[in-house]
Amino acid sequence: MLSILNYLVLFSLAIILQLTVVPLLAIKGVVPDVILILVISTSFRHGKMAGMLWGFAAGVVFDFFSTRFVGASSLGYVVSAFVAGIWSAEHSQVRFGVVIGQLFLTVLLHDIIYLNIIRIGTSVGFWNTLFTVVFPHSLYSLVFVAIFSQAFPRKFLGRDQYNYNYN
Amino acid sequence: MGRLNEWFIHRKDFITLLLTVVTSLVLLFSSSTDQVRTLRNWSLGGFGYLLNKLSVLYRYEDVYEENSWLRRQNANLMLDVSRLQESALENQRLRALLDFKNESQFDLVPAKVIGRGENSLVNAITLTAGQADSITRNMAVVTAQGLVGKVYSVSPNISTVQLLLDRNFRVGATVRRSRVMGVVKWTSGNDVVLSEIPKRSDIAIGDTVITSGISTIFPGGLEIGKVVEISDDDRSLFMNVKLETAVDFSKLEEVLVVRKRPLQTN
Repeated sequence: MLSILNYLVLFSLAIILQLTVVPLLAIKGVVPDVILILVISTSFRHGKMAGMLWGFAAGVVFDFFSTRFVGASSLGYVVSAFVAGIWSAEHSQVRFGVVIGQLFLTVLLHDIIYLNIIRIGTSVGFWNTLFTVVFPHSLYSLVFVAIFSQAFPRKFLGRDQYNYNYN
Repeated sequence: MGRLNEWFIHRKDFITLLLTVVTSLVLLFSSSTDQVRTLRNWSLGGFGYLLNKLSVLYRYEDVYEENSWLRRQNANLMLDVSRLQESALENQRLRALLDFKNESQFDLVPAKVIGRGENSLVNAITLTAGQADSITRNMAVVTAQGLVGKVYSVSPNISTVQLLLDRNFRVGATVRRSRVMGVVKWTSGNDVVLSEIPKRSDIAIGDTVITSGISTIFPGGLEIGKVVEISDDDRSLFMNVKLETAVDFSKLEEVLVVRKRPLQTN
């Protein structure tokens, strides 16, 4: 119960930050996605189910307040949470690069879904969106994901930092 | 029930994914922005295409039945076409006969050929006309092309015709151009000859040979055939004149019987 309240607070905070402060960190219009970071973290720590449910709820609320298409963010978060949840089962020692790769793929998947929904109806093509929007956005979010996962491995990924095998 | 619960528990992640994705899409499609309208159109187009393809499966039974019906219909139509072609040919033949009948000075009775064959006695055909049509023995039988033969035997509705190609058939004939007279008789196969023509008679290849009219059976002027070969035999007093019959006996289907009764003229 306490965990649910914690996540409720965390996600509320993430949504507020994403709507207010995070856009200030934009580099050439590319804004990191802290809600996504939290969704991935939840999936890594508690599995697919928790990640998907929290991602769905957070996505709907965020879309509602950001006046975007309600359902677009939640769709991206749900799919990312599911994929991240697959890797959460790997509690054995893994190389740091593998974790970063997993995180990047998860973020990339979300961005491909979300940003292409946003793109529909515009004159911007798929590949153009991929290289000019999706990749920069994913890389920028990955920087935050990498910092958090390194700084708070147990909190973020649900695994001990010492389990990493850097070789 | 226990198994069902177990099934759901084992697949709870996938079920959750499915439900949340579907709900997200429903929410997305509930919006009314231009992008969503475009996305909705795309998905509806794709869904429609898929449904159209799948509908073939639902319609398979109907297609099968329709195919069977079309096959039957096709067979019937082919038979109809065949019948119509046959009718067209018959129409042509009957028109020719009718024209001949109308232009002819003879009293003619049309009859259909229903049988043919050579027995030991006579090379003959069978007609659908008999005593009921006032047909009697020894009446001449013709087509628009020329002489066919004569009535050999008669029953109430059927009559038998001895053909020109019968070994015992004889008919007095004359060459239309030079009026040279002789007797036409069968020799072998489809060959008939104009016999008893004295040497040095005026006959040439291509001359038309007609009935002479010096007969109680055959009226004069009926075409018998054309001269195709003339030869001389030193040991004989007569020429050998070979004819090609005017009538194609292998294609006889309708004929006209020349009644002896003289045509009434006003």
